[in-house]
Amino acid sequence: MDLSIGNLSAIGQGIQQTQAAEQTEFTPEQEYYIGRAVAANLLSTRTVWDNASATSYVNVLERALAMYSDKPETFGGYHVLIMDSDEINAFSAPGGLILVTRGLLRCAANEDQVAAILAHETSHVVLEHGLNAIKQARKTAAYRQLGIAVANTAGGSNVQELTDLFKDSIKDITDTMVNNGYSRDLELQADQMALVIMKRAGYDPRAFDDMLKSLGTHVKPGGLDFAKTHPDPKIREAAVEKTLDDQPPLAVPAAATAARQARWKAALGSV
Amino acid sequence: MTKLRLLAAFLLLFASVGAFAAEMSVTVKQTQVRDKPSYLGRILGVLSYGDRVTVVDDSNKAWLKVSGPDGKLTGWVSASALTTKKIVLAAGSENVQQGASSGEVALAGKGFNEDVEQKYKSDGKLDYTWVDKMETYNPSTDQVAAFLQQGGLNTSGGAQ
Repeated sequence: MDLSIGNLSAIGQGIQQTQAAEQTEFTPEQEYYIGRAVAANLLSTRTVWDNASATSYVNVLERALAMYSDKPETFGGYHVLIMDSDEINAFSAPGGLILVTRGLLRCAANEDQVAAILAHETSHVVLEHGLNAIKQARKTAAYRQLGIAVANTAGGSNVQELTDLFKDSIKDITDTMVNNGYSRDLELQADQMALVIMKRAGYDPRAFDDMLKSLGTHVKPGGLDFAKTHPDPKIREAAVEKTLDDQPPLAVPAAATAARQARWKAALGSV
Repeated sequence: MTKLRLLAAFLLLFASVGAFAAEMSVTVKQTQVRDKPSYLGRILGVLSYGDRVTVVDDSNKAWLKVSGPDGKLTGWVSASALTTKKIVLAAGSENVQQGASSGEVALAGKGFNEDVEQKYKSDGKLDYTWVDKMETYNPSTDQVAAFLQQGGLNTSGGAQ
């Protein structure tokens, strides 16, 4: 398969076009408020691992990856927080607030594999998978309320109605993320877009396959975290390997590999 | 004959300038205007949500060369930070309402907005401390440039 940047871009764009029909019409500003609420909800039952160097590292890496995606900028930008949990899990709220667990980061053996995780989460944001989890009925109702809000010049306020809709919309998203997971198709789409982002940024996309293999050994089948919300790593591997199609390894200068290894170890050695 | 050529050249120039003079709005909180189409380009200035810009070069898909609201600031902005929709902060006139329903206008601060967030927060007694904190994690251009360079990664500064 042709893995030139041009062709991988075309794959990325093709994915975006199929998504276009399903994309919501929420503005980036509304997506921002939705994303904040989703993240606040997820964090209300989870503890943050407030390690400065680890957090700084994943945020620089995320910025580097988002830069090479098809949506480098969102209303409030992409930011990463590490959750203090042994569970293997990651959540990307609409608009770019990304939460990853220590447990998941531990599955990565090097920077390239961490890049694979973040590229996948970034893809969920770019493809608006979180927003798409909002039931159509709520979106329709939200539009009606927006019209009312516009018409309310002086005095009238429909903030209660909007907040109720907001609450339900957030629940649609978190129910999907935490309980059901996205559909297999959406997960595979995020995988494919992650390969594009990695390649553009200069990471060998084969590291994504390595990361899936690692997940395969660490994830407990039937477990309540990752296994519940993601397709079997083997299925994802098959799809990724088909795209990679025996592509030879990317030649990386030894100094660069050493630099990545050193900074990865310094930042995430105690994860 | 010369006059005709001159006229033709003038019309061509006028037409090509006209074709570029699309107006767009900044659709993100804040975005940087850079001296080249790259996230590693030097920052010339900053634009804010709702700022109107004139597109002067749209030949690159991922980056647009724009001229800022006052006409003085000209440089490159990520296409992801711009929208063809006009972003209006205050609503009330019929034109705006019509525009909103036809999709030409995006209404800033309407619908799911800060008021809704405040009510949602207090209704659910939700703590946004970490959400607010994580939004302050903003690596600088220099940090990201050094990261890419030292790691032997792509330093073009964005999809082209």
